[in-house]
Amino acid sequence: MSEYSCLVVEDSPMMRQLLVFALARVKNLRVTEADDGVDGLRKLAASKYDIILTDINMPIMDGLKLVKRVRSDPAHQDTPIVIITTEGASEDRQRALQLGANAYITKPIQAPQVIAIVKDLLKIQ
Amino acid sequence: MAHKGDESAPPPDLKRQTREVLQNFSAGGKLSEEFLTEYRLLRDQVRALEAENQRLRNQLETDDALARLLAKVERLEEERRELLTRTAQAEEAQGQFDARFQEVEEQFSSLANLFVASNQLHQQMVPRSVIRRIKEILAQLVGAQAYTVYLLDAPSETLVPIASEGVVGEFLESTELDSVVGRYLKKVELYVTENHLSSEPNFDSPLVVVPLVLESRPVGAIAIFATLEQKSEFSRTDIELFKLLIEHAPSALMTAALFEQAQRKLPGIDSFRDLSI
Repeated sequence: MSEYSCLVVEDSPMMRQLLVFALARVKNLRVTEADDGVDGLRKLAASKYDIILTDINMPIMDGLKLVKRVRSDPAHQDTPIVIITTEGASEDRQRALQLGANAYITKPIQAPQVIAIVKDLLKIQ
Repeated sequence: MAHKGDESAPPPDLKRQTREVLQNFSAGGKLSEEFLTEYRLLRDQVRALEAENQRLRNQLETDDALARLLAKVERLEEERRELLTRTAQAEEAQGQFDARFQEVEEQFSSLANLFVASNQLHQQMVPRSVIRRIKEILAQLVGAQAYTVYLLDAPSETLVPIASEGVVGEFLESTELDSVVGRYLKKVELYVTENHLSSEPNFDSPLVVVPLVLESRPVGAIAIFATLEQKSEFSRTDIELFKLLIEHAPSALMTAALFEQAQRKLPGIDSFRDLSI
């Protein structure tokens, strides 16, 4: 059975822990955590991931810059990206989708929604 | 030419006998013909009867096959009814399973939220970090947009705002214990509005008041005045998070404050002796 890898980029330890909890429900999914965009890029340079979940509002490097950098890297051009945003931030959401994000999740996050989106993008039954 | 006394001429008796024989022969032939006709007639009748017999036999066989076919159709109908009943039962069981699965998923999600909130609150040993976690719980988990965290100043009997979001101006000032927030704190009662939630704050009428209690003593309160636009009602998980905040938030906050007051020194082993009474 194939194993999938997921990179969660989120500055809030609470949201990160919650996402990790939700993603633990997806079978054969290995989750790696990153504190912000820079940490995320560092981890992407070290290994390849099957999917990336990233918050938009983060210090040092925000989610939009991260999406742009990931999409400009041939190694990760096709890696699905899910952005995590608040309902009010529709402009950020649109911008992220234009930059190449594949889907979005709005806060407060619901574990079943996170699981459904990740499974859908990874084409897991 | 026959002459009288000619010996070659047949005697009259013989003529008569010959005539009789010929007559008898002719009658025999006639009889034979009649027999033949009768025989042919009978033969045709036998054939007709045999054909009729065959037809009847075929008919019987057809009726039998039809009866067998009808019995089979009946059996198949019975099987179909049974299968439909089983399908309906299976669909009902599937529906119950789906509902139960959904319920378990929601419970899991709720427990995860509660665990993470509690875990994050009690991991912090700096008051500012505790406050940050409380704010994260309110904003990220509950979906609060405008809220204030008050602590009770016992000597002046006022509630002093120590953190807030989306609250401005006069509404950020201290409030008396006889205010709406203070009344719920004095009663140590969680208040959650039954009305439709709003993203427009009404500072005179909070949507939620969470009393903060330490060892049964009221020490502060959290008031939520507005929620995110997409939120129409508080979920069961939200209510559980409010209940968790009642005792866990002040406990985490006081622990961090005391630790800071003690200049982050850990208590000596003497503090923990004789605990296992």
